[in-house]
Amino acid sequence: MHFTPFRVSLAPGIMGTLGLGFLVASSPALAAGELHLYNWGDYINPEVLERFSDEYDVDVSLDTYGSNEEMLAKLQAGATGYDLVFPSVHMQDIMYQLDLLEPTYINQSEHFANIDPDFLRAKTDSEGEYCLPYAWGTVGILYNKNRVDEMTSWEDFFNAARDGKQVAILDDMREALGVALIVNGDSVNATDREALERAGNYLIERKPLISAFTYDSVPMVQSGDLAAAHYFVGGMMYVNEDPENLGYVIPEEGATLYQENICMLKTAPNKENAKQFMEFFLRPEIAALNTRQQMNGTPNVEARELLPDALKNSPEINPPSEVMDRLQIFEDLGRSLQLYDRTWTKVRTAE
Amino acid sequence: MSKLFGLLRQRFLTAYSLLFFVFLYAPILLIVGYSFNSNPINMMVWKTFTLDWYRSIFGLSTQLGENALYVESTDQLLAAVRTSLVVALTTTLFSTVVGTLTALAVARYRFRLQSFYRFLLFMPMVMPDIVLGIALLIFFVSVGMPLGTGSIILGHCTFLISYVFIIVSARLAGMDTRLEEASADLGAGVWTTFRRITLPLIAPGIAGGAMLAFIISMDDLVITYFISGVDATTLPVFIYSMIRRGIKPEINAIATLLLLASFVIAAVGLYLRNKQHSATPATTEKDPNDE
Repeated sequence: MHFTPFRVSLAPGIMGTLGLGFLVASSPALAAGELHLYNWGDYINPEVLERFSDEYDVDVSLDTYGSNEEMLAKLQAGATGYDLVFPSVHMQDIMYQLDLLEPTYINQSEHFANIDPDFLRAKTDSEGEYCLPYAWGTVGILYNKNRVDEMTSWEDFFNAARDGKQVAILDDMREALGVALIVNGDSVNATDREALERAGNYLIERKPLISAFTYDSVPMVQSGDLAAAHYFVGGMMYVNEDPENLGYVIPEEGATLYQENICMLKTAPNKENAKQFMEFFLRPEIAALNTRQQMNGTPNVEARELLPDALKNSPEINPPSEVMDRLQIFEDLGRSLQLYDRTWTKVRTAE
Repeated sequence: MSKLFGLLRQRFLTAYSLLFFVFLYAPILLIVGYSFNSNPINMMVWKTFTLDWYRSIFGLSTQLGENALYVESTDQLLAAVRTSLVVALTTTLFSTVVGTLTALAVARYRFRLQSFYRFLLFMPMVMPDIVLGIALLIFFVSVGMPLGTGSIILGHCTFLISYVFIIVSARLAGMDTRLEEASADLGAGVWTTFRRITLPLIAPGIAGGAMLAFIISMDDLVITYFISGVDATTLPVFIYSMIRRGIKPEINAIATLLLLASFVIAAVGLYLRNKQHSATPATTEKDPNDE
């Protein structure tokens, strides 16, 4: 539309020449020494990139996105130039099916043994031939110790609410229904109507107890306006700063977890550097460097040993294996997503 | 009685307009206030006064590094500001020149399908951003143009030319064409007439169009998101991508500095306009005599 030849002839001429001239001047030549990352905002320690850049003499660029869907939309439309992306596990499966990923055979690299095989969660990549497990975390309960006694379960959470305390649930369809599915003993990826109906009823029964469905609950928990909130393990940042007053717990009934992996794109212009970066990230000291700043879980077993005690021994960030067994990860639901949509609408509109 | 009513009405109107300004400006003042908050994690909880965010923007040493909880990415933030400024300045230049020329051509010449061109120029303004963004992305990809600063600039130009065109056209429509005719009668060439008569008269329109173009380009998220590429993240795209980890306090400091910059620009603009106003009668009287 904007480049139609119908315009007053002068305009596109000038714009074309100037614009293209600038473009040629500004777009960097794709030399061998480059690496382009496309990652979530603030989801990697800049020091890791600096170290890689210094060691291999590679120019590293980092562009950022805010959600899996956003990143997929852009790549699907044909955006190129990026070498490595950091999708969540279910998004990796989708990207694999769309033929967007390049096999890296990272599993044959020397340090791949550092990776806990439990973290090879992608259904389409159970051997680790494509992507490298990057980081992970749980979604549990953040609570204010002045308002409630120690909390260990979803039962405690709703009991506190019955005592008149204010509590909040994440305004996220899959996470909120996930709580109900977990408490009912169903899979968070259940696709049968009965399980979803049970989950819907569970939340509808408790809806009068829930003060809000929101993402922005941290300041309210800190101030005590909320006694407890359904929140990401990222809440540990606040807990570590104020351990007297705040607590984070992975509920006894179980919880969901999220995990992102490092994947190489089929269209990557710098495949060698990209592979080099993945191998670089397998080194325990590098993974630990990243985890220390990001404060999330790492699938790199050796790296865990290098962490400061506060992180290494934190049962919330690096839970023992019996807790790990109670964690579930979201999978791509395909068409069953509609069933979740309908249930969620019913919950949100219930009186 | 009616006097009392009048007084009450006046009071009410005063209170109403005060509230209206509070509604407009309170959020902006909050940002300025919180840019001095030392809490690195939760910027809505006030801790103590600090200039650290400003220090870190200008690359000075701060105590932030000692706080293990603080995720440092100031370099990235600065790179985003730089990209945004480069894009906005270049786009403003191109779209102002091209938009003004187009407006002049459409206003001064008669040609076939004229109203159709006008309609075409209106289109990008009413088109939803998301449609424009995807259309541009698909276009750039299909003609094989690499995504980056260049593609953002071209993309912004496509709709900002329309904005400049419309503002300058409005100015041209309100201009007395007899002034140009008089200039020609008195022997001035086309170029002299343009330079001495037309350009000064439409200058406020051009300046307004340029400012609007600059602001829209600085601020655009949806279209830019789709057409930005490797190593070309603009400030709005960068801020948006932070939602998962939480917005960082440096954003407040950057926003405050940008606010300050726009105040300075606006103040200079107002000052120049006032100066021009007081000088106008003299020049309009003198000019025709000169020629």
